[in-house]
Amino acid sequence: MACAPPAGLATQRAQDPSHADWKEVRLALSTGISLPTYWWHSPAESSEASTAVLCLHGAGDVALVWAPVARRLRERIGGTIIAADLRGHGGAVVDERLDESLGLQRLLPDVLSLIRCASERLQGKGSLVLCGHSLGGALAARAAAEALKAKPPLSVQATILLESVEGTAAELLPRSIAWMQARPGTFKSLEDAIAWSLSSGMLTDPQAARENIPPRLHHEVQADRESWSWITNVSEAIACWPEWFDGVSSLFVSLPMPKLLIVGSVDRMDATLEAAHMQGRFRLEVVPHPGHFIHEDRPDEVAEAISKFLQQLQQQQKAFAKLMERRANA
Amino acid sequence: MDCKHLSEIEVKQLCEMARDILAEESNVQPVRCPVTISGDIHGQFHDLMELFRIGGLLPDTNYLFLGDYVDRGYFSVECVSLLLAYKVRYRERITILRGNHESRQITQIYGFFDECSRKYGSQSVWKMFTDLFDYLPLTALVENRIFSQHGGLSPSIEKLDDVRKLDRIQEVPHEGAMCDLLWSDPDDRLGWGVSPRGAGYTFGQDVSEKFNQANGLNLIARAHQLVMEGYNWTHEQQVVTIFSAPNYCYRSGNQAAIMEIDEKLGSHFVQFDPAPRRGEAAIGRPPVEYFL
Repeated sequence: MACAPPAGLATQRAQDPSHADWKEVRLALSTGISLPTYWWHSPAESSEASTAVLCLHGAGDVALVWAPVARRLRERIGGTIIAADLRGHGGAVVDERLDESLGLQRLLPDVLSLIRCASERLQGKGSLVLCGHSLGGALAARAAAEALKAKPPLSVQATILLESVEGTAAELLPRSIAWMQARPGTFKSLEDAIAWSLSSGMLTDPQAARENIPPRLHHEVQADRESWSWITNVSEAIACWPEWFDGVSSLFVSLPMPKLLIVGSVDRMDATLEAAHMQGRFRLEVVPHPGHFIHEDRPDEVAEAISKFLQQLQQQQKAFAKLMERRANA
Repeated sequence: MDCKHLSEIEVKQLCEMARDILAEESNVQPVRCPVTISGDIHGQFHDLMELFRIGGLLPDTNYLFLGDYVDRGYFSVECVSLLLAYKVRYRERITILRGNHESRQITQIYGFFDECSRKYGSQSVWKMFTDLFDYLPLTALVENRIFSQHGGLSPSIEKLDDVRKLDRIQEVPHEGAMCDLLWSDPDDRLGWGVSPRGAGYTFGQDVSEKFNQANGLNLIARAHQLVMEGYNWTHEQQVVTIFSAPNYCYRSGNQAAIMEIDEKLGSHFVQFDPAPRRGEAAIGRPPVEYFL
């Protein structure tokens, strides 16, 4: 029962129940941590095995930034969508230095254990697709590669990366560091934090900011003064940043499974991805957007891109099976 | 050849003239040798000029272009205009096939639509070009021995006559023989396979051998995939890939090549590097404030 929710543990974070269309389950992983996971279950209980998409957030974010995409995706593909707070984020902050929590040696085993737990809970009712934004994408690609080698084997049907590009992350590292260090640490109110996210250009859609900024923050009251601060101060883990993406582009393009890359502009691809795309080694969708958080600002288009990919994959596999049958009969 | 685009009215006339010529051509357009075969161009006009400098100018050299003239590079309008102008001027000396990027849907994502809108201030020129793309032939047959197409083979096609029967005057469909010819790739695995591109198929050496044998062919010459040397033999010389956009997208670091076929169907490759260019370096990548 390694994957049972630990008894007596409930989330400490207040959530607005009005749009809570997910089911929260805390999963105890074999790596010794328990992570809050959020499940958007398929609307109709179908006996047919369907797709389950496991979504991994980027550095400094939380599982619930996936909510707008998750609910749209559930409607479109009828499968199950799962998102988890990664170690050092959201409801998974543990008593260790952040530059330890956010190291690959911690995050990657967590994700592999998470894949195993999620697969067990799905009870074979869905093959798992990994989907990650930015750091989450780098983890998805690495975990997909590890899953193939795992014993007992872990099944990953496809890997989807959003805005997760090694060369671009490396090129923009100084800019990202400057941006992160200039980010205010605390706000007097949620409204201030939401306003900052829009004025700074982090997010462009006010609705996305209203829904997705609050879960990133924790609330404190000291001497009658309220303050809101980021749960994860990613600047404390700068030492980890360079390793996250190291080698990810070539790892991704060589994964022996269907792959999709979603970017806000074709110009954000690096040379490795550009060449591999021109060799037809993965699928590319462009959701035109000036910012990095395309799944938050453009949930309709991102959900559409993901469901199109998954549906075409199914159609391709069906057409292929039919072709093989025709040839066997001929 | 100053890399200046035509006026809208000139494009209209050019497309009308080209359409009348292309409408007469076959889905399997016969080509005589000697001929020089060229792969993807992708809007890299200065490199297309380099290609003609190295391969020889028309009408002294005959050309067969395998598609993908537009998208990604910054001068798709100029590239496709020049090739169409050559087609109108020397229709017997140049054959231009359709690539998977000569499509309304793909050009809206990968740059040609935006370039047309930017250079002409409206969508009308993009519409003229993409309407014309429907008329481009799908495949060519060099001296009944070399079968050329942009992508590759299709499980729906066994004989060349199956290609001749297709109704090609339409947008590139999402599936079926016409789609496969423009999207498929050869693969190391035998038989047919599901394509990671989401369209077309992968095909193995056994498929290529069977197809070449059944149709009396020596070779399948295709483009569609970046190859670092500009050309690449595969399937034990049953298939060759030719890619003619050096340093694709201005950052892939690949060489380009053209394949010269002589009167006796002998072949050799000429590789080339990016042409010196002005102005393009200034067009940088759009800034993202944060990428982590």
